[in-house]
Amino acid sequence: MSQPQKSPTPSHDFLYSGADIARVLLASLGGFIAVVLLLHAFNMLGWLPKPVRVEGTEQAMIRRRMLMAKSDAPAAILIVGDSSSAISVKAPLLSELLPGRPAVLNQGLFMFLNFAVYADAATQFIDRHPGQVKMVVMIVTMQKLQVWRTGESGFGRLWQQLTADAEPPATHDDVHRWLAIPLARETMFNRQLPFVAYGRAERFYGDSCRLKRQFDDYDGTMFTPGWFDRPNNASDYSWSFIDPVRMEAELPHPTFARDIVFVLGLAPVPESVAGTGFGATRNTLLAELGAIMQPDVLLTNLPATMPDGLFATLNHLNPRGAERFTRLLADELSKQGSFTEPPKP
Amino acid sequence: MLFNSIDFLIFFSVFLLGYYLARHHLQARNRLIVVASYIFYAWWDYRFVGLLLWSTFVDYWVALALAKTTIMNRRKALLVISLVSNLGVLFFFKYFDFFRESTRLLLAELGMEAHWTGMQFILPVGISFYTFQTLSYTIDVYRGKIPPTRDVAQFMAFVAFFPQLVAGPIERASHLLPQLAATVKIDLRMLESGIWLFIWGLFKKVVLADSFAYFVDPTFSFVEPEASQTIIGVTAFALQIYCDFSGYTDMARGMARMLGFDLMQNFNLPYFATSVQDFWHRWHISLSTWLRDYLYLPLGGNRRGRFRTYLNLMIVMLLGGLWHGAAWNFVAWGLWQGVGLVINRWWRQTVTPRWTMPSWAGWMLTILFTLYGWLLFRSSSVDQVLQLTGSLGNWAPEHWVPLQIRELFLLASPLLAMQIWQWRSNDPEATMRLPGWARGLVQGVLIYLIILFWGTDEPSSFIYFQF
Repeated sequence: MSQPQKSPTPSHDFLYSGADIARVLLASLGGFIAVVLLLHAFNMLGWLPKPVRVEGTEQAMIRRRMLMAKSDAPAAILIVGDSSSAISVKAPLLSELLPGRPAVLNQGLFMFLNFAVYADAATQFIDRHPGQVKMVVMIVTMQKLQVWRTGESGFGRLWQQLTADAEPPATHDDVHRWLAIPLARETMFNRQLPFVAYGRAERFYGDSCRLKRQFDDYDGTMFTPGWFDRPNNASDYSWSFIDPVRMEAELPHPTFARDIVFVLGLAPVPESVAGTGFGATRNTLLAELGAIMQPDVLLTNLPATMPDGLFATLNHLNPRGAERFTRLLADELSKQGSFTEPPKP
Repeated sequence: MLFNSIDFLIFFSVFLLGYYLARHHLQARNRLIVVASYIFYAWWDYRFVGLLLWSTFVDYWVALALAKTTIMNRRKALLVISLVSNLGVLFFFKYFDFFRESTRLLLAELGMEAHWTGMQFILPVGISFYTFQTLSYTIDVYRGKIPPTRDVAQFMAFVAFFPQLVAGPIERASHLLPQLAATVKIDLRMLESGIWLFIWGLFKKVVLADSFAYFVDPTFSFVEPEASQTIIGVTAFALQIYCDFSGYTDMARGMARMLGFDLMQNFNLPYFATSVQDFWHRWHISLSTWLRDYLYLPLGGNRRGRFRTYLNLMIVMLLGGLWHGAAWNFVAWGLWQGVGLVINRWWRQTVTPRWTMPSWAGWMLTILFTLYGWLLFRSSSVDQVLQLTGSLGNWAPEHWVPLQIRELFLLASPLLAMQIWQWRSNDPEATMRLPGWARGLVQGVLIYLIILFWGTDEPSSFIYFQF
């Protein structure tokens, strides 16, 4: 008679049934569906706050500039240029420091847009507010003169698209919309929580989480915190005005009316990267740019360099640096006289 | 494969199906766990599967050999084999470059030049965890606390059990091996609590930890921050690392529980600690108890006089700091914790008999001490430690600071609410007291928030994976 085969030891016993599993899962599913339905219901009843869309840093900035170009802002001075103008010129502070306290609007953009777009950021506003704008200040970095992007860059197209009043296409798929994901994010969470505005270059623009609120509070100024620390093994920096950028600057671009003072300057660089003879180089390049752009005022008295501790990156001043630079800029612009009529007694 | 990834959800779903099919056969279950765990590990980097196998089989063989001999010298030699094998691998991959570079710098200070090229080893994921886990097995067998197992699949499953393989908890053989050797009974409460732990852990990771990171990164990327930014960044890091690590542990425990296994609790409201010693009874409990049982006590513990006790505490915490990473800021963090434990001990022995500090004061001091420790831990270099410490004397808050504080508090509020509830009810699983439908509702809301915060980018890794 053969030995009975030893049955294998059971691994595990499930002491619950399929119905139990279904009950557990359905409870969670029920909670989930309840949230979705509540959101949709509140939305239909108009009980949710207005949506606040979060976009990439670059897109948010371009959209804001576009919207302000069509706005009723009382600006008498417009700041344009690349990111150094957006970051290094504190619009509210400049307004406070200038005689007559003219309203200032910062419309600074990015290095990889051309000079025509910088000018366009001003002329659109000027055209809508004839007689209001008294001065356009264009500040660009030394690096802008040697970094070339054509006007057909993605951001150039984005600028054109947005200025044509086109709404960006919705990127959320149907499933997301059914689950009220964009609804919840845009109506509630984007206001309260630090959803980072993802952008290609967001890391260069500091704390971009609360960008839109910041733009409103600081008339378009951006902030990049931190302290520039020149890498030990960095090779010497060189500065030039390369031909492609020169040709780009020479492209037809909007000009400003005769009663608007056009001011042009170059942003300072950290002292540690300047090298010997930098001041003279800066003035030469500024003169060359000035010969093309034909400003009314060339800011040759602005410092060519500032201490490293006032910079966040090679091109961006940190908030303390921006405050100092804005004061220096205010001193120069004050020489152009008062901007508003004093109130009659 | 991260737990907070679609890949893992698919993997676990397929595994659950196989687990259900293997329910009548214990051996088949353990083999399934081994295969799944090795697939899980190989997904990270297949090149290091060999290391895991090496660590497993050395200790399997050493333990069996220990059981066959009572000759002390031979037993010691076998233990040394296990120690050298495990710690040697750990040293080679984790610490070789650190000590080489530190030696080179020291020689340079002494005027001697050493031209050594770095080898830049990739750190195998989980190596700090599984080597300690297998070491604890051989040491326990050596001490006669547990018998060795002859079941290869069982032992391989113990070492490589995927829920806890790459970031703990560091399980003891006496706790997990018997479970793998027995039929496990999975009742409804285990299923419900497993699901709850998994969802809560995923919420802590995806919603909380990854969001706190937005407050942390700016502080630690500045070269000259100021006090308010440093305080916000360090506080946010304290919350981030807790949510990240405890979130992972909760997910690991939740998954294990759904499979019928109990993994040890690794966190017990650490930020409610009222002393440094209390903190280490609540934070990364599996590591602190490992260090106590296999390092502190063999060094003599507190049995060789006051000075030797203090020295033992410093050694243990120094090595505990080094365990976290091959960098001087981790050493500094370990020393800081050691100093805290020494002061704590001195205070208890010298001051407490005459005057008892109020709990709230103890809590406050412990929090401040812990927060500064996290500053050391998170800094990328000694220079940054000095700069951030110096920034505490520079109070010049930027305009966004009040907004950041409000947002940080808003983000932390679900965690605070849960922790206060657990503390007051003295129950880490207080939510299991809720009726099923209420808990389901909470889970549904958490799942919704997880989906809401789940970005389209690559899922972010867990902080403790780097150890």
